Amino acid sequence: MAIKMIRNFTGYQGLMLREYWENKGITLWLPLVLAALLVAQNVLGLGVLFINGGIDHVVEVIDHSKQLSQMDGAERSGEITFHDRGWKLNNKEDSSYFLRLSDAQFAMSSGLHVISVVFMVVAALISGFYLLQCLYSDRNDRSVLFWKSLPVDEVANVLSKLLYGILVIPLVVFIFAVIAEVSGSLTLALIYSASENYSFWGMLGEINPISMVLRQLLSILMFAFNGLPIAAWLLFCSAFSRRLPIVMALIVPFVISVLEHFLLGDKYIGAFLEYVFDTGHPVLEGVWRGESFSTLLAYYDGVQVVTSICFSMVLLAGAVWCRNNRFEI
Amino acid sequence: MTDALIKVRGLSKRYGKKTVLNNLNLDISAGRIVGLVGHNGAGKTTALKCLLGLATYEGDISVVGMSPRKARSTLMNEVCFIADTAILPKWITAAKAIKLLEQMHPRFIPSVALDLLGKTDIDPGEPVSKLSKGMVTQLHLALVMAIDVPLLVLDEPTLGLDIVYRHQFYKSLMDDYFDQQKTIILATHQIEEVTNLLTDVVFLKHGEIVLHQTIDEIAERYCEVLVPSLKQEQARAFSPIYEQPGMGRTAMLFENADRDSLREFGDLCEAKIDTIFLAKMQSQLT
Repeated sequence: MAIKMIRNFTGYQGLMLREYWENKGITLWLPLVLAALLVAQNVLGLGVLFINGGIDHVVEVIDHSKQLSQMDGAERSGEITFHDRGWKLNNKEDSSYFLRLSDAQFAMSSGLHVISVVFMVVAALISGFYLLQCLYSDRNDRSVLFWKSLPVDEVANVLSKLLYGILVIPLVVFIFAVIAEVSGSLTLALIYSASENYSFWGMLGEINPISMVLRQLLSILMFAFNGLPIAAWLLFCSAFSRRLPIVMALIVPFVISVLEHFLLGDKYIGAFLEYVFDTGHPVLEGVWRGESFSTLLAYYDGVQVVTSICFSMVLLAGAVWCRNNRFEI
Repeated sequence: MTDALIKVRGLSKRYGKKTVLNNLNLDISAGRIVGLVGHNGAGKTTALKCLLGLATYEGDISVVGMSPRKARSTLMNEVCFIADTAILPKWITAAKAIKLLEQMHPRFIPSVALDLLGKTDIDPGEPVSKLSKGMVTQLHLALVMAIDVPLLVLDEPTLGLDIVYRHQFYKSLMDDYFDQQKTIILATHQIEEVTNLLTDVVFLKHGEIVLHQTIDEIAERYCEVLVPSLKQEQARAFSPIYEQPGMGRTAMLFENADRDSLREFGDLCEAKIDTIFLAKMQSQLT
């Protein structure tokens, strides 16, 4: 029993390694390039700001921009002009007015939130693309015959792809998101801390990077759990489609929705799909509001979760069946 | 034959209305090298797919004591196969393939694979997409030969390779892999290249077995006589199953004929497998 478990584990390790090597481009290089671009943007941005008048001038601009942004649009009109060394404020240069610390922190956390959302969207797109093509592409290039020559059953195959798509890819993207966010935090903290009103460590400390990272990690787990029915549907399409799984993934729900809308009035299938696919919307929002784990769990409807898991299992079983029976390679 | 490694009973396979395999019965014992020979479309690949559990079928198949459809993944612990085209993933390198197989196949021996690859010009870090077709086949064979299983199934493994690679392939197979404990099933339509390797021959025509014999039985049963023009009519009285005209003499193939009588018509020699194959194919066509 123990030997079998160890063997199964090393088998799954091999399957995961295979997925990583096969999809290194989208798993590693794509988020790495995105993170590198954001880091480079931060570094270049800092460099450009220094060249255009030094950090003090930057802080002055930030402070006044924020101050001005709080005014009405009519008052702001024409107050900021550009010259060869960067920004210049023509009037209301009241340097006694600085942003409150909480405003500066809000600006920072908003910036980091944007970076985080960008990476979440990237993770979702990469995962979606991966899940949609993973069971189709090895059939398409016939390499499925090589994989089928190994003592690995299709249940393990499909599950490894599911895990890779909903957990490994988001986790790898998460690592690069953290790198980009750290870079962004340091850049913004550096800029703000040049002003006497803010301290570098104070700015970083108020953001609480550990809490931020944990929150994102929790988001990924919720993302994986809540995205299970969609992931299962994409895998099923990938296993079932003779060609272009994306067409099936989009057209089938669309056609069903349209037909039901006109014939039955969205009462049954549409309502059911909404029920199983939308288990975690309030949960994800709660994660970003920083709510406790028990509060987050309370958002889940037990019956809805069980229904959603069962629905996903049926689709995954369908994908396994297709791998075993639908096509002869 | 109770100790057969492979038992096939009443194997049939249909695609729609087309019958591809028709009521095949076959026993293959351990330690044999069986040539599954047939023309294009004879049903060789389909038969192998059924044996490997890659296709649905009617009838009963037992491979190493298992049903291929019910226990395909378990069966792959005992069987290796190379399909008719290069099927290694384009992104894989020899080094990665060894690492993966080490984790995914309990009977894979990495040192054997490394030794075999050391005899080739394959760069372990080069992906399959950058290797020549011959090298891909060498790589695949090295990987498969490093898996210690009792049954190896090869479906047209040298298709598209030049004669040098084909020769190397079979030489490596015999020198480095085959022993009395292992069984090889080799599907091919280039029978002349494998004749010397085989212990058994199965001819397939339109999804039916038209001949299944050992090489020794074939040598005993068939003979070929080179008959000069003047004696051809007399020789035909012994009902040759195939005639191949040549320069001044015709090669006639006889089945179960009295060899002493045949010697009167010309030089008697051992029947070639490819000639017997042509005879069987022809007789099925007429």
